[in-house]
Amino acid sequence: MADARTQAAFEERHRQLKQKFAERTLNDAARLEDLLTEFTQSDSESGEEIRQIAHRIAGGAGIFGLDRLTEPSALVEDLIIDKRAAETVRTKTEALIAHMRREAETV
Amino acid sequence: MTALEFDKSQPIKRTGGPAPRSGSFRPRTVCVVDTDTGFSEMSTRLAGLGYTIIDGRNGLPDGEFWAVIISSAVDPDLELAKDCAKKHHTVLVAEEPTFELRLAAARAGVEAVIWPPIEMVELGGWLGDFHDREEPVYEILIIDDDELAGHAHALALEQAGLRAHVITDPTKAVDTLDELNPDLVLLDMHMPGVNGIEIAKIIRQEHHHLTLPILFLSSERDETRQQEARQVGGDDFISKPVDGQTLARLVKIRANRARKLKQIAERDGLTGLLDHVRFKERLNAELIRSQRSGTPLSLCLIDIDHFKRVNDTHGHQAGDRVIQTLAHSLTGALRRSDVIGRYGGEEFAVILLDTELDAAATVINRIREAFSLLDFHAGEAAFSCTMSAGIAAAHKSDTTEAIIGRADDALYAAKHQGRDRVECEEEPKRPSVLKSGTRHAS
Repeated sequence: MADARTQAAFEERHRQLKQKFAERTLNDAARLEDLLTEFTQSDSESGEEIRQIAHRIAGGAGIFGLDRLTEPSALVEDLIIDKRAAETVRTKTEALIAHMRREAETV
Repeated sequence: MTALEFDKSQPIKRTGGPAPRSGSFRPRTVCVVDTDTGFSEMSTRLAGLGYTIIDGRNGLPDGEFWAVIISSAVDPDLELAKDCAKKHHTVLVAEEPTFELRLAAARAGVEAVIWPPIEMVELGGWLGDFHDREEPVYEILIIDDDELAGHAHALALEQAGLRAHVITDPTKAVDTLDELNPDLVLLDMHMPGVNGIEIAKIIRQEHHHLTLPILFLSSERDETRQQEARQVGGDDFISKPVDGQTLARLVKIRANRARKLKQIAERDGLTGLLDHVRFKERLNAELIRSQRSGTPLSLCLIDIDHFKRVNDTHGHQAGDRVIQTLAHSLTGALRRSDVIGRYGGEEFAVILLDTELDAAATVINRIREAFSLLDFHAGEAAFSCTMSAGIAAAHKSDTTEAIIGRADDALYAAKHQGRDRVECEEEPKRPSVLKSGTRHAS
């Protein structure tokens, strides 16, 4: 369907988007770290923001080919929706942050 | 009957303006391989249907054709047909459709077999079908507040041959829909301030968006949300995360189905053309567009002469065939970008985009002449038909009603002056174009 030149153009656009996603993921990781310092329970503003970030990562990871982020981020989102214990959320969010940094470095 | 020779070496000069918004002009050439008599008869039919004839009597020329028509009279073993079918859409004209011949044709890879008496409708149907099989381009609107994800999804769709447009602001959804007229909307379920279901409800508030397919991109866990969304008319869910190829495949299937359903719902059943209401809607839209861009537009109203007589003398089936044939002729002779509608029982309407009055008259006159030379059959009887046409060109501040009125007046003048002619709207300085295409002061 696409000739060699258009295919190359597509690949370039994909590379650029993936790059931006990686940058955003690193920023999100830093933000999550900040949020964790004030996080005390799921049902709170910081909890909600953590959930939103996790949701965004979970949704976007697949299309950008960073599938290893899907599960850990979906997990964090679910934990907060289900209002699970703060310690559990904290642990899993820290794990997510580590995943995010690792995956973003590979791009 | 002699074959008609239209001087198609001279392309009609439409205006020098920008190319039509969609579609391109591509002369539809059909190569005919037949005996001299057969060639002559087939040429008349094809000319009547708006196709350009290429002579294949001395061998199949190189190049691309819309279709090739081969007679078994000159190719009894179907050797040529078999060879041809590898590269072109091929129609075989058989003297008699025996089982042996049909089997041989199937083995040769020939798609279509027709036999005398050859119905224009059938021939037109086959040739039209070949046209429809080209893949249409679908336009997709993506609404996602996550700009990166939106563009990534758009990229995946574009790689699969679709066109995608991304908006991140859901408040712009309705306006963008009206401008873009997409085939499908891809909607993210979760957006700050307003969720996907609410956007879907808002989209569905407009009557002409009731059948627009809406696909939700949502996380699998939202099962109750999914139920709610189906109630509001969401058509499908795609669970995030999704890979690009799967997304494109699902979107294509859904867009394709929606377009087919839309056509059935909005088009005239007999001819597949736009019905009266849709045609007028389309005329309104095209009029606005032409005024905004400054490109010319011509409207033509066509009426089959003495149609009632055809029905009364030869029956309604014969009448239907005449209508279907004229529909095929118009589709065949006009550009993909021109808009054709079945305006009434025996009335057709055409919007010729990017076309001045003179050029429109020439095109329509050609169609008129070719149509008048066609033979129709009803049982033992043979008959022919003619059409009258009136054309109006869009003026700067035209309304739909105004331009229709002037085209209608011109049509009336054509009828009044003897029928089987094309008349243009009266303009103070312009002479009107008469039947033979020569100008006379009126």
